[in-house]
Amino acid sequence: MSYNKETLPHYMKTAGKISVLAAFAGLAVFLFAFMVDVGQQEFQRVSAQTASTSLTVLNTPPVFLVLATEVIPSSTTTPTNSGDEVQWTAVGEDSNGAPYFLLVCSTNATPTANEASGPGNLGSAPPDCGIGSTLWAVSTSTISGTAATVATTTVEGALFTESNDWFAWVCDDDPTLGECNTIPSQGLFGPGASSSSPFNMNRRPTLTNSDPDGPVDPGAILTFLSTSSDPDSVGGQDLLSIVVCGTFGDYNSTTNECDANFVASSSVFVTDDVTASTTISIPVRDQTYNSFVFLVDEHGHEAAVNGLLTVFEVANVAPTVLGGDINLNNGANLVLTSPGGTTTGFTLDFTIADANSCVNTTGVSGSEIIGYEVSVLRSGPTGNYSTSTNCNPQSADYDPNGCYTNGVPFDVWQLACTASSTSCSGPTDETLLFECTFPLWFLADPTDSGAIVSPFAVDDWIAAIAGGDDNFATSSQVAGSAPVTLESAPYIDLVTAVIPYGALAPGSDSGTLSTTTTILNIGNTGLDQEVDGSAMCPGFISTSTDCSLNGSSTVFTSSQRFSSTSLAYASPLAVSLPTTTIALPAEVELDINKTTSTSTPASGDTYWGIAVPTAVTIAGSYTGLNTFYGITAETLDW
Amino acid sequence: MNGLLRTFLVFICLVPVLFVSLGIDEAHAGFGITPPYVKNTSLTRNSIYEQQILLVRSDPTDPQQAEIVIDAPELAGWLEIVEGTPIDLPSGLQKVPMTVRVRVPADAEFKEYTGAIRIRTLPAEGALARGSVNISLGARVDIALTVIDRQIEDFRVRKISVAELNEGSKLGWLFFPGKIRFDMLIENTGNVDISPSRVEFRIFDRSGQVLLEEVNNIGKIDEISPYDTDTVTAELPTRLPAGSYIARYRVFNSDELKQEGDLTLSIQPVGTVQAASFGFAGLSVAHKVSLLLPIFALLIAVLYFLFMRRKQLS
Repeated sequence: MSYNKETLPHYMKTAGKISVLAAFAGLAVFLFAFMVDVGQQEFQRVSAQTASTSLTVLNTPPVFLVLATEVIPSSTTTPTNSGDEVQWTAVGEDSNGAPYFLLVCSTNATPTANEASGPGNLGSAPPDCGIGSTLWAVSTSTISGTAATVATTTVEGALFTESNDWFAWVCDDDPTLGECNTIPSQGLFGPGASSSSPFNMNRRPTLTNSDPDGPVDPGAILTFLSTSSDPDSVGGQDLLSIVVCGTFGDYNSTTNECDANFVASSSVFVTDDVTASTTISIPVRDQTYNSFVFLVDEHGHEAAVNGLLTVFEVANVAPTVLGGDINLNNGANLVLTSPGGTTTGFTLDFTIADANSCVNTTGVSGSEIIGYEVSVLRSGPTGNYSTSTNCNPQSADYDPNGCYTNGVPFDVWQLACTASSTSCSGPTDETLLFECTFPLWFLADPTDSGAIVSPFAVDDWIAAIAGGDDNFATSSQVAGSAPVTLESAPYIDLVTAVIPYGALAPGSDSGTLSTTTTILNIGNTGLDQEVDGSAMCPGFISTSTDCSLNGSSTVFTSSQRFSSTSLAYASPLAVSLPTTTIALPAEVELDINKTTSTSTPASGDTYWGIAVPTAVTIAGSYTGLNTFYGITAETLDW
Repeated sequence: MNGLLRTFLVFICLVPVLFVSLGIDEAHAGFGITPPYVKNTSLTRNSIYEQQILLVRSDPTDPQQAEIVIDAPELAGWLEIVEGTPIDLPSGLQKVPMTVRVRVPADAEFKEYTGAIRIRTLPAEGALARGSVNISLGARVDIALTVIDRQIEDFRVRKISVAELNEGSKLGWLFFPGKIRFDMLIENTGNVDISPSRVEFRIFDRSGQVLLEEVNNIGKIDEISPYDTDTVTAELPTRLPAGSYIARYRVFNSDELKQEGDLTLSIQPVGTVQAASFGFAGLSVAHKVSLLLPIFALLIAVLYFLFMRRKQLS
């Protein structure tokens, strides 16, 4: 033997001395013991008896063929939820072929193997954990060389903590000397190993309260707030989430989701007071709704007290109207066909939508959308009428010339609307169609551009609608997208159907244009008048051809003179009446303004005079027929 | 004295010529027409334009006739009253249509033409008050026509509507979108056939805040004849699921926006509405290619095979 003196200098100083000393000491102990006790008896037996051999081979403990591991790894990242089992498995082998037990304890205190009552009862005496150690689990008797599986159910508040060490042994119950292996197993360690000691128990989170914000509008975000926490801290605080279902039974504790009637779930997980939000769908009825809040931690473990009843409320919102959903008179021009009166039967269809659906909680079709405000008005650059100023139903504005609203009593404007019986199909339908008819007075302002352009031609007629619901919420008024034109309608009427000239002698005239005729403007334009006539005679039936045209019994049209003012018959400004079918009618510049009052039509007088020629010799009643043509006055004269 | 006597005798024998018989009659029925014009500023040679005018009486108790006289020397031969003249005004009928048809000659000058049509109501037989100067009512139709030598392409959208539709459906890998049928009542205010050049839909969620889809019409929209008014339909594809939406539509004439607005768009689950959906035309480009490519490939293969066979035979 040689040493490197440089690296082991100490060895060189003591080499051999201790060895010799130890040899002598050993020899001295041996001699002393031999002489005083042991040796005396043994030597005597050897010398006095026949030699025989006897050997008891003691039991040997089983050994792990496969180290114990957790069947389902239980770690900080994959803890075992309280109430669930932790399972271990291992394969042990007993050299005697005897059955073995898999024993899992909380500490490494040496376990106690028990002895079966006899060889025939092997596997009947499971081992115990060492003193101070908690028995997690012990398997049933397992055939040597086969896998033993053992489990324990975790319980909160008992022996189990959030992190629990475990030590596993394999033991037998040899009747003579039961034994456990010496070195316990704690599973497989190393990178990625998660089935080793300790096992982790995940405790339930705590849910003490839940509240929704709101009331919220349809389409808005509803947030469920909770008072919640989690007791676990090993590996970091557990993150929490809540799931909200429509009914308690909708919650699936396996998937931690709502099987049906899902309301909301957390999108952001936090360690306490977690929230969940959802966007309220459209449509949804305005009422309170039950919901059930379930708290779950990040490991899918639910709160012990879970499914808290939480009532949220959807608020009522005002209905809405879209311009394209307003259909005025099917797009056709508005045509007034009742001179001096109201033309009925104009149509107006509109759809009102309500995010609270078209039905309320009664379920009756159309019960949510019950009101409407209607304006039919002349609208445009003139700015004469506007829903925001002088044509608003809420202000009961009304002007038959250009603004009709249903803010006035029905006997003023007979707007009649009917809700379609088929357009509202139920709570998932938000629209309701109204079909209306309405009248317009004869003097409603025309907006057409005819040969004589209406002073209102830059405008159009529109319908503006606001919807109202059963909570008296009303939308703003929305104008229809497709305006229509109201056509000019020059209509005239007469105060008297005849010209009362009176009686005249031949060769005389009326002196002045003292006889008047009055025409009434019962249309919607300014008016002028054209006139012509036929000869008069006693035999007149319908035209001057009924007259003989003999000067003695015919008063020709030229004998009649007229003017828009009272003149002398002989005045050069008095115009002779043209003859129908022979000459063009003559215009009387009456310049009658457009009528603006339904009860007082604008009017204009024409002054008439007549002369009876001396050639007329036949006395009697002379009949004739003049024609008054109503014509649209120049724009400035409206 | 003789003179005085003669005058007295004449007065007694010949006079009075009575024009009044019997006091003042109360007013009778009002009368008028609407509209009081025939106006068109975009006529072309050989074009035909019709204007309907209503003859309206306020009290149609008695039957009457309307005599019509055209006073338009420049338009001689152009104008026709389709119903003929006179026009009967039956009792009980408050409004009677009269159609004025304008036929523009091939050699018409390009200029403005004016004139008038007078309508005179004729009293019913025996309705005149004897010994009176009766008054019949009439109306004047003003004529304002312009013949021009250029095309005007213009229209007015009078009404729009959109019907409920089914959502799109899948067939194999192909997705056939839902078909939006957007009806438009169009008045052709120009002088050539026309239809909206483009219809655009921007579809929002019900709140109107979130734009979900933007689509244009597929295919051609039927044309409207000059001066006519008719309903045409634009078809637009949508890939949105069933639900209620707000559609912001825009109707274009070339680049000119003719009308825009919002309306409700209701898309129903497949099979709810009895309406045809899009076929091949509605498929996306990728899906069209996926269908056509194999067909073309097969076609080319067949042609190649035939070509090779012919080559071998020759």
